[in-house]
Amino acid sequence: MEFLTETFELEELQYFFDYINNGSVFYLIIPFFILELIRYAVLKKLNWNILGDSLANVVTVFAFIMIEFVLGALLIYQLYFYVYENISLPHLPLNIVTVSACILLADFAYYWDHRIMHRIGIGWATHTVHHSSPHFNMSVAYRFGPLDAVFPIFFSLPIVMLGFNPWMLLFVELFVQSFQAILHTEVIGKLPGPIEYIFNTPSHHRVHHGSNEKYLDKNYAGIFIIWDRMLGTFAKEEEKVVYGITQPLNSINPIKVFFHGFTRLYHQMKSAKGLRSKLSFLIRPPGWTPPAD
Amino acid sequence: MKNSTLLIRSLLIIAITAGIPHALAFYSPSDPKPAVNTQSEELSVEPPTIEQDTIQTIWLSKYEVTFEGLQEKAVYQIKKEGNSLKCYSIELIDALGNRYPDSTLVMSQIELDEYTAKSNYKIEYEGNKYDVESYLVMNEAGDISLNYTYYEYSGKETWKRLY
Ligand SMILES: [Zn+2]
Ligand SMILES: [Zn+2]
Repeated sequence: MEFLTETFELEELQYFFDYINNGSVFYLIIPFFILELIRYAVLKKLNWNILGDSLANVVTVFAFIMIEFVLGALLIYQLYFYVYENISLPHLPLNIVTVSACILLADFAYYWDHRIMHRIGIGWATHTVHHSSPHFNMSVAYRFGPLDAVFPIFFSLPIVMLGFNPWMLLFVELFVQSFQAILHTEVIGKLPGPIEYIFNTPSHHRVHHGSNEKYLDKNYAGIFIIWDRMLGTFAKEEEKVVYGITQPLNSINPIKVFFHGFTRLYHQMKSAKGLRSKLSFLIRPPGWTPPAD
Repeated sequence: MKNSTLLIRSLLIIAITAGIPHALAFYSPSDPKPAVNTQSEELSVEPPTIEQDTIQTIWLSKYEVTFEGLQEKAVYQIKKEGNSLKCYSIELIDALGNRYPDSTLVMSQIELDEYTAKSNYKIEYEGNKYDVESYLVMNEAGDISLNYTYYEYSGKETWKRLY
């Protein structure tokens, strides 16, 4: 059982996760995306809208990375390390058990972060971007909203407080994102039962992207679908998924795509009467309307 | 699902998942701390290499390093590889407190004499790399002060033990 407590260096961990998190873009995501384009072509579905939409996705990911970068340099390092040094349980050694626990916790934090982004106005204003494509392919995985980097901070800090090394947490969070990315495809149908039971799969995540009534606000999982099963938000892929949001965006303009959630929120708040109603739009779930008096 | 059910299930998930690595760390301390040696009687009958081991153990730790006259800091770690002690720089901290992972071997062979030590030390000064002879002294708190001179240039560092 010694391998359980055998400690490794942060650098080894970084090397391992870099290979998966950054490397996979080249050995998995891009080849897969090309395969999807070929599939679209064979099915005679390839058109300018899909290409433009994919391009918009790539633009949003660069905007997202820039925001993440500024935020990271200014805030995340400082905050994470302050918390780690001052308000944390005893620091955990880096070993296989710690890393596995960290993956589970980061994935659980992802579940709640994701669920909350769907259920409060300000969260949906940023996360709607990810859902606004009417298509479903690998490039959609990279479609991010302006504050998508901000919300997770609140959900990761408690993990730092539990004594997990912030660098490890960062690698693991990127790993959850990378796992999520490969789920965005129509090429893979359903996987064998046990896998579909435990893990989030393309099938489960297609459901999450559906605007069908019975698919709304379901399957928030990152890596493990068990969180949805345990917390009552699981739905199986049955009827054909209609991708997108209930009020379609109909645009491939990257700027519109990136900001449409906030423009919509702003208009809702502007038209509401009274400060209370206006502010309620920030925390009420999407679709909420102020009570008529 | 009721909010209270959600809360209870979530807290259980977190407690179990975080509890396991903490329990494991608690019951199998992998980083020996420089505890007062309570087994000195036993040790005296053991071959001398064991004693050498005990002394080495005292030095094995991470240290936050402050360089005299500089705002930048670093985290060093003294590790045992094979039979010798080496020191790596594992993290750099800039003047603003930003931390960057690092992995540079700064000392490849530390020679111990109980609480003092001598080692070659790789330093960088104005872009040039030097290998200098350095002297380390450990105080009662387990912190280290380090000195070196290189021709007319001399340096002083404080290594604060991190637990
Ligand atoms: Zn979502
Ligand atoms: Zn998605």
